[in-house]
Amino acid sequence: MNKWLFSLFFLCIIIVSSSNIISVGIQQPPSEERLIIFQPNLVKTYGFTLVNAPRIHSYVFSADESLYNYVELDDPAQDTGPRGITATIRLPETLAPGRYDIFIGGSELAENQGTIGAVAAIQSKIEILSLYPGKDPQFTFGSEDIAVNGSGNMTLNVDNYGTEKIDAAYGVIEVFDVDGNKITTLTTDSKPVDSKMSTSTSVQLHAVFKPSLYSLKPGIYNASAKLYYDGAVLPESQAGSFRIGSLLIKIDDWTKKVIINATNSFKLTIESDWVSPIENVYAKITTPNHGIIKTPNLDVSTFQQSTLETYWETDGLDLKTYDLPVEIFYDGKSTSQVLQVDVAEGVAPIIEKPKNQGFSITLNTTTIVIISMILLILVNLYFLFIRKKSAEPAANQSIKPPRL
Amino acid sequence: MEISNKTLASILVLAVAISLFGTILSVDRLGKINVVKQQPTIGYASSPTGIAEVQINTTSSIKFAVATVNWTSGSVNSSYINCTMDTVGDLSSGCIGFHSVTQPLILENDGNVPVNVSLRATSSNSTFIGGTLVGGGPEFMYNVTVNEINSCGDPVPAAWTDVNLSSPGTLICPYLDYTDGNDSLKIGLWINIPYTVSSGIKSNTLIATAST
Repeated sequence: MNKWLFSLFFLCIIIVSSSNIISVGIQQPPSEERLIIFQPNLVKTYGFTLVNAPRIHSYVFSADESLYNYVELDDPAQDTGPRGITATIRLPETLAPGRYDIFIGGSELAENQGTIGAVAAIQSKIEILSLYPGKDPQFTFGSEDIAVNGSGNMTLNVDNYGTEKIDAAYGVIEVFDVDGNKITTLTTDSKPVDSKMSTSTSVQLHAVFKPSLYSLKPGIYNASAKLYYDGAVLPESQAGSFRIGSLLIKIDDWTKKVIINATNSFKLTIESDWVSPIENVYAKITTPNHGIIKTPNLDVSTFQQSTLETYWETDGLDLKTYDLPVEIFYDGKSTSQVLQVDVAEGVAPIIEKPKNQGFSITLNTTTIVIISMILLILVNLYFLFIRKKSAEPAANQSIKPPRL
Repeated sequence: MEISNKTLASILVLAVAISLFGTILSVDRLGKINVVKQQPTIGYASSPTGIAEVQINTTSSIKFAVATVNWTSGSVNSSYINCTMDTVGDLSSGCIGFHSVTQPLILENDGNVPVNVSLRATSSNSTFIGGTLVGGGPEFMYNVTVNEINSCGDPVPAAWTDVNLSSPGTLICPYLDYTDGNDSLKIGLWINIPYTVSSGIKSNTLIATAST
């Protein structure tokens, strides 16, 4: 009975605690459907679903107040829980060329009890494009991160917000080192760019860059691009930076102090300098009391930090600074470093070691049925063979030899 | 080993019971499988190609995993001109009765798309805290850092900054990732209460708006 009461009490605590964590979300049509190319008197209706929070206030927001005249929000049950809402956009006869944003959103209605309360709101953007007469190219520029001995694309994404098609567009890209010294100039391929009136997709113009041609070292580099189209050039240029990476993982930080005679969490913050994710990274730490301890394997994302963690029992050690040789293994390579760690006195940390991943059985209905079936088979086997065998001699005894 | 008839019967009954239990369970589970009733075949398709269309809508969602900061109640020591508190556990000597707070607000992207996040407050320094400009005047500031590594490339501001009141607020993260373990921000708070502030309940609400 006490066990039940405890479970009930624990459940109540979970329910009370979780009531303070409220999420608010919106399900929305794909972004390409939320782009409207202006046409006089166009009417378009979008469906959204507000989710998660028990009370959500729906709203329309736009930085341009005149746009409120063109939006009608239909919410059947304002300030209630998850529900569907619709937004109808009714465009006017004319709209000055440009880009306009309308947001349809929901804000949670929470009753926080603190000095400072925080509420979350979520909104989905509907973009209206009113095209310029003629040709109006706009572009963004970006470069892939590149392996030091590989090659990568530098790309201009071009959109034409004018009403007329661009017959040929290409980019000219200048590459610089961190000190601003120019390394080379690249020219992309040339392509036509349709008006947004007829396509919603951008045109990509590529140029390939190979660091090895210029004997470049790993590091961060800059590039600047200009767009040329139909005998004209856009006055503004777009800048970007990219990284040349090498297959290397380094140790950025580690647990520098552990408590003596305790199980300590030992963490290694590692950073990848590689242009792709690296799988199955692990470390071996040579300890003075327990030999080599290994961390679990981990996947490290491109140029990102991750944390390798293991547990070190510090029994039998002295209160001093130890040198721990650490070796990180990844993709057929390894990085070695000796780390200094203080073994000090203190309150033993409360550590919950990960459970052993050995053989274990989870008791659910399927498991029970399987166990029952095995039992049933064993019972049947018992009667088929063991009982049968034990019965056989008795049967033989009953056979009398024929009288001669 | 001799087994009595009674034991034998018990084992048999048990075996039958187990068999029945397994059968009932299996039938019950099979019954939960939705099977589309197949129409009888009456011919063949004129075109062997079928087109199935499905539209997957995205879900953007955020939540405050920690949604309140509560220094509880207190006052400004009459020997001092102000009381300063923050969410990294600091309480200045001028604070009496307030509790130290070490937990900042935690905002998490629990949807399936990245979002940009803006932050604003509903009350200004003067309406939230009140008081005069002595002792630094009423101040309510915030800063933003990542709670989990790689959650946001460049959250701002890193330094204590006055809150914005206009909608949708100040852009604090242009790309808040949605990958579990890399999808949350810490919003730290700092408050200055001059001794001239009037008594009463003081509260303010921060609104984090995520856009996609």
